[in-house]
Amino acid sequence: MHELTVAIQIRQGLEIELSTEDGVLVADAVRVQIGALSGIVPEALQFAWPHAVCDSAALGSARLDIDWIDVQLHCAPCVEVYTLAEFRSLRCPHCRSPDVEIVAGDELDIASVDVSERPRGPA
Amino acid sequence: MCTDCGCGERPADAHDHDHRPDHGSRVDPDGTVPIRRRILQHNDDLAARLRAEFARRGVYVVNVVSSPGSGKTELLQRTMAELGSDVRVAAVTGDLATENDADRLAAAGAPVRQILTGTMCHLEADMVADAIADWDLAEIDVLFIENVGNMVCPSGFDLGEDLRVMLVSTTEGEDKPLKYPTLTLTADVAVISKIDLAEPVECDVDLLASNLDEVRPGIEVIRTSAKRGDGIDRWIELILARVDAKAAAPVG
Repeated sequence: MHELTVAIQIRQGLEIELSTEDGVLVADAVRVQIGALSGIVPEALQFAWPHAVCDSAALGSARLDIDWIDVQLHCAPCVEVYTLAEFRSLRCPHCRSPDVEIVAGDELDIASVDVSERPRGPA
Repeated sequence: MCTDCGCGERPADAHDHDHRPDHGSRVDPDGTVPIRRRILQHNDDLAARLRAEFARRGVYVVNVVSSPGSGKTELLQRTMAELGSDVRVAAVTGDLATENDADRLAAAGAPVRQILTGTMCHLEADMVADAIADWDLAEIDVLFIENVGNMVCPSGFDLGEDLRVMLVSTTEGEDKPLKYPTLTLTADVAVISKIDLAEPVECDVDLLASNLDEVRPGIEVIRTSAKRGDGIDRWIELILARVDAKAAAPVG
């Protein structure tokens, strides 16, 4: 439901990262990592993306690639990492122990940007 | 050197990256620029600054999150009235429209500010910062933030709070915590509201509590009725204990 906010946050963060002293790097593609615990619906983020970047010099024509990260729990008693198809509980899916740690699935990160052009004009 | 972006700006690795990188972005030979940046970094940075400011001024901050109609305002009205004799309370409340909640909360005489979010489904740290900008935080012991009624979006947005409370009412059904595991996961305490209505709506409160514990093992669950008064003593006691613990903790 707040995917547009997230898309705008990606834009604002990247416009900072892509600005150089000579101008702005122009992106072809943006790769983000979205964990299953983030509450983000990938389709909704894809829908929001062009609306968030349409007037951006750096990102206006950039594709958004979403790496979807499943939740992984490390269980201390099992000494094992389990990948969950769907997060339901902060307990080990095997032994039900609550002595678990989330090792993946809470990502909401910008990973990388593909650029083809060298710096052009102001951001 | 900052280990996050490689710039030489400050020694810490957790500084605000809202600066123009004078080192330029590093483009790998294949045309890829590796970026290490959280999407909500701007909000996270501002929330961290708010948290530090709250700590410095001795304000304990409670962020209350729930579905619309779970009873956030009713609980806070009662809480502020009861706490008001011991500590100085204040509240900010977020809604898409109307100042009704602020009017209700202000009835007890404490400072209250309404945040109108328009179409936004959650509060962000900058909205809270703006809402309290002209308050003297030294005059406040406990600040309640009543989030926009929504079980999904507020969970990702840190507001600089000390305590995130998830409210779930008996009228919403026992499986609510299972349906919204992300919010349940980020909550520090769960409050079950409207237990006076459990019988007429045939809510199994024990099952609701055990579903909370299923998603978040060990979470403290307080069963309340703000109208009738059930559980309010325990809730107030919890807040006061946390306020005391924060006051005793070293700042910084």
